[in-house]
Amino acid sequence: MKRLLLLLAAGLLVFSGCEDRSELTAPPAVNTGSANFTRYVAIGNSLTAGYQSGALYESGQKYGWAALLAKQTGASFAMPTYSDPGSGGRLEIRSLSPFTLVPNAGTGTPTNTTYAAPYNNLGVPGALLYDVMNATNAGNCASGLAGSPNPFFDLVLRNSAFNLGSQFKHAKALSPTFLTLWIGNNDVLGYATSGGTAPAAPTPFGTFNALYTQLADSVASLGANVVVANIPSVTDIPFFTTVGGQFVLNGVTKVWAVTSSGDTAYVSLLPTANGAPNFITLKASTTPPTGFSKATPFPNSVVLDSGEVVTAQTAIAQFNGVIQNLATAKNFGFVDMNTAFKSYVYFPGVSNGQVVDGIRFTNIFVTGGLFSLDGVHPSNQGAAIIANEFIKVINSKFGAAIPRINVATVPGGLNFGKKIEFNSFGLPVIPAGALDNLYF
Amino acid sequence: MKKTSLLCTLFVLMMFGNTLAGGFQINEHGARAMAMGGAFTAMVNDPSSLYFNVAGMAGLRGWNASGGTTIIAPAASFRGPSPSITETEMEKQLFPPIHLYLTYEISDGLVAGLSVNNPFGLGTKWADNWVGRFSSIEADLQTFSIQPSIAYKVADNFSVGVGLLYNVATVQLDRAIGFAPFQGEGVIRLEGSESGAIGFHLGVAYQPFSALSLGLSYKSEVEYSFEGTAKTEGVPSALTGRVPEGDIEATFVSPQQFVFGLGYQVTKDLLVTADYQYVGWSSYDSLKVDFKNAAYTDLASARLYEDTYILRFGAEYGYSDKLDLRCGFLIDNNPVPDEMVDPSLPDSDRLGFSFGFGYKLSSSLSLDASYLYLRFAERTVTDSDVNYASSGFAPFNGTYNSTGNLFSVTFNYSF
Repeated sequence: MKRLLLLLAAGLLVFSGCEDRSELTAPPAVNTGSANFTRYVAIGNSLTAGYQSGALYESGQKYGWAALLAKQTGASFAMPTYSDPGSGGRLEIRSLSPFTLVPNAGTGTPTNTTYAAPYNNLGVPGALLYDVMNATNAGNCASGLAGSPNPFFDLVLRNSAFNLGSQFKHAKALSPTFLTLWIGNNDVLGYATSGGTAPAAPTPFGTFNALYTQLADSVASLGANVVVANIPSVTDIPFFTTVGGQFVLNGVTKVWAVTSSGDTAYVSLLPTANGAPNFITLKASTTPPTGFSKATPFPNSVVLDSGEVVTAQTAIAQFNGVIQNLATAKNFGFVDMNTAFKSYVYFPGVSNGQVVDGIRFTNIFVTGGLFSLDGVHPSNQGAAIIANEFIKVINSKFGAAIPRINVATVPGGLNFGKKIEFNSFGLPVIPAGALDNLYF
Repeated sequence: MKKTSLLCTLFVLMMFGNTLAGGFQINEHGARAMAMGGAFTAMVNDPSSLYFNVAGMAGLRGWNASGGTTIIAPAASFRGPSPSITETEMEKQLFPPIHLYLTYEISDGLVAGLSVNNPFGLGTKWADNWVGRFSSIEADLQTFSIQPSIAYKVADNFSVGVGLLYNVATVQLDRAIGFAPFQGEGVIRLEGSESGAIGFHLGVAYQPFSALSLGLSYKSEVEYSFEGTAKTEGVPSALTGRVPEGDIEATFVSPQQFVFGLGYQVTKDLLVTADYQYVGWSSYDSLKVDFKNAAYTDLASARLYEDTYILRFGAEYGYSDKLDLRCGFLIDNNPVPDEMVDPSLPDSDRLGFSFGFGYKLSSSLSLDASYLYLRFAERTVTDSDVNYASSGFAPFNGTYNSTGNLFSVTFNYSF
């Protein structure tokens, strides 16, 4: 009996010993090859900032492509976070049928303003190529000089405290070991999204060439690993394709619009003689729509006529030539975002986007999954697809093996706006002091 | 030690055929059997034979009643998804399946019996916000099975038995759902019940010579037709009507099983037993949930379970007239292909170590108690078909570790 008990006791010990599981070793650090992500800096515009649905807000910023890339490589990445609902006017969904958007009337507050060094994310919404080397605050950026100060420069650069200077100077101050540069989109996009009105032309090629050359020289002098990306076709984004596309689906192929010449014309929404259609921008997506009579044409500011489309496309082709040539000359990694993006363009009967990690993505507004509610900036998952394009190039350029992001693991981010509800007296609830500083 | 146990003849089987999955199946329906690693198919003249090998009750005299419970305390953890090794532990739950047996000797060698038990009654539960929530948050299966059976002693060394399996079951499955590209996530709960799934079991017991007993048990497939509802929580009002909800039905065929067992009386006081249990898990090739509302796409996912087997070994030592000591060992090969292992059932091959005792409290009342430790082989999945993304697909690769502690008590009364 005693022996038996001993045996049982020994057996129990063996069992409890089994509780110790074999140790799983921690995964090896991400293999970044010859690329060094010790100090990663991203220079860019709203795309790099993680701006979505018309605002900069924290729950979107953390799914910006640069933030996702940093996370995937294990790089630390400080950002000028802005608490939700963000910098103001964030677009939210009121209803799906009919599809109704509403800007969120609230704003958040910047939450990382005391970070003691320049941000790793130096993406400034609205930044032009010119601004990267020259703009230091809201007033002296290109749009500020033209009369529209851009407060995002103050948010990101904090020069009143740092006095470091431009986006580039901030990057330099961080002594980056790895740098991404994705800039130039706004040099065409501002022209295109304003229907060719503000500004009235893309940045001139000569100017772009000179500025980018100067910037590439400066960036090369930092001694970091550098990857640049080119400019995707602006005329394939839902901001331009949605309104005309819906009209065509409903059998309307021509509308009245004010063209760049100032004339009101009955223009085609299908490709015209120069190969380009006339686009009506998302700004004109109203009820009831205008444009059905000569008396109420679409205004010039929402019409990118076929001539303007060609102008934008020509500028992009030229700018992309500059970017690619300089990338080659400076031995930068080069992400052909333009080509990558083209593969997601939906064209009935011809192309239907791409399936990534089990999800079909197209350039269709909202349902295509790539774009946020402003029709210009990528969604969370769209940003992951962009980050993967960078990862692909980094891996081949630097002999790295950074795992691609599984896009399906990135959560959806398009926000539902709350219904407007007044209080029990039927009155709106207005916080104390909220109306104290109105401008009239 | 009960010499009568030598009389056995054959054996039996183990479970009901009604499982929703290997790991949900409860094989522990008697403290004596559990102490012996479940190697009980060749054992006769124990009321729990009604479950393990229905032919085994043919030798029971008069009235016998037996009842008890098994407290099952499973534990599991997941580390992943790869390359992450972040560990999440399954929430602790206790499951107390019962077992009740009643037998009556109608005439010499002809015995009727009725048993009630929970052939399934397990579940898994993970935190609402854990990384695998889009695969599973909670899975819970409850079954009650009633088995009216009859056994007949054809010859002194040969018995047969047959019985009906009547099962009622409820199942609940919760998981998170996402709405990408829209923000937010909710939970979908599938609930269903089956009020009468029928199967049968057969048993044969044979004793070729006095020291050796053999048993053979068969349990049929059982087809469960669950009816119930799908409910969601947390769906943004703008998406109402776009997320599948409403009445559902699902069918599940539990596997058939054969068990072959033998018992050998090594000495007057020492009996050893062994079972080979074959489980036809290939019956579970897919899980389909049909929405009665045609507007919603039915769900179907492959399961592709494989037929498998369990080896069981037991020993019983008669320490005194009143006290029996028992121990056992089992090797359970899980039916779940690597790529199908999911957190609702973190199954793996298992080793079980058990011991226990039986004590005669009086000439008519006895007590069995036992402990079983189950050690699941660490299981690392590298090529998972299980998705943990809210939409699209992301393989839920990682490492599972599970253990189980089981305590069982059974009282037996003869009258």
